[in-house]
Amino acid sequence: MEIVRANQGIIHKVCNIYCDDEEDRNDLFQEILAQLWKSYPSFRKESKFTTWMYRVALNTAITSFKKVRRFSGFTRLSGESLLVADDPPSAETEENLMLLKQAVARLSGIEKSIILLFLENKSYEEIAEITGITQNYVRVKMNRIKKKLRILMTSEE
Amino acid sequence: MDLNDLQKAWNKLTDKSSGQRMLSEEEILSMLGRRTTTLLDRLDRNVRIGFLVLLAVVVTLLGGELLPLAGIFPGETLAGEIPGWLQRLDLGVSLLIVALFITFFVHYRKIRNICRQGCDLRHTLLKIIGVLTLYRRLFTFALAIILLESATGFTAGFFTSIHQNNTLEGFFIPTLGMGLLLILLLSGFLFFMLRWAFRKVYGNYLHQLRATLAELDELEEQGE
Repeated sequence: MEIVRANQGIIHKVCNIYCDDEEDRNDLFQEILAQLWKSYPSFRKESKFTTWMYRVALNTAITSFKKVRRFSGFTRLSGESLLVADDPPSAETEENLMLLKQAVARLSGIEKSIILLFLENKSYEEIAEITGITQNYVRVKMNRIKKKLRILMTSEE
Repeated sequence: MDLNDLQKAWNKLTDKSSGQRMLSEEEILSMLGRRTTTLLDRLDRNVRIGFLVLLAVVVTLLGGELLPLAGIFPGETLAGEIPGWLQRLDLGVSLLIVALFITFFVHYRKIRNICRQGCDLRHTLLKIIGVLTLYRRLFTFALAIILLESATGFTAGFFTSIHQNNTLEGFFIPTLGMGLLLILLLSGFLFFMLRWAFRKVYGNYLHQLRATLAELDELEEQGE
């Protein structure tokens, strides 16, 4: 429990990227938590705990029964998901963050998971391990997502 | 904005926003206590219940085939009144049901062994799609049992009635045809109703999972 509590930021990040609505975020958070709890006995320490946690969290988010609603159409931005507690960002940073969030919201479920792992500084090896595709394919996909994000962010400006 | 800047911006965004909602151990435990079973758990439970029901049907069918009626009700035997071809057909239907049941069970075990908890996304998708597909097929299977057993039971009963009463002479073909038509209509109605209900509840979900898996597969195919 302690290790999950200490790494709960991972769950929050996954919930934030997949859900716009507070209620959906809470539901998904609970669902991920339940899956982690249930799956923990099968964690064989072959991978890092955080990698395993990302795997369970992303699997749950992508295969969640409510995802049809989550993925349907453009996910609107909620002010709360962009809140920064202190040290308010500059206007330019805030704008960039807004653009990034809006662009990410328009990606597909798989693209969201890959970009999230990339933004979280995960190696291609770890991304491949989590998604079940080879590192080469992760690279191919990453290049496509980067291009797509650039286009989306430019079009939003 | 460069992608490295994006990473920095992302970290700043997520670290601080998630930091606001860090839950205590008590809150997490309370959340876990309130949690009900997930969709996959429920599906898995339903499939198991389905298997138990089917197993009961199979045992009943086999019992019916293996235990002679005369052994249970001395003096009562219908064997002579039902044509041999119908008895063989009935046995064939029962064997078919048993064979289908075994096939489903083996398939189910295979799906369950695709991966354990915490496997990668691709295998998780394969597993859920597999369980859902199996669940849908179980519906069809159950319907096939109703159809086949109703048809053979009705025909056997029909022959017995003719033999005992001789009341249907001259109406044999129209009455048999009408009875079979009614069974077909009833089974057809059940089939479309179950299919509609399944699609209504799981159709979009299954479609979405397949699309997600196809997205992963498309990537693999293009990379080759």
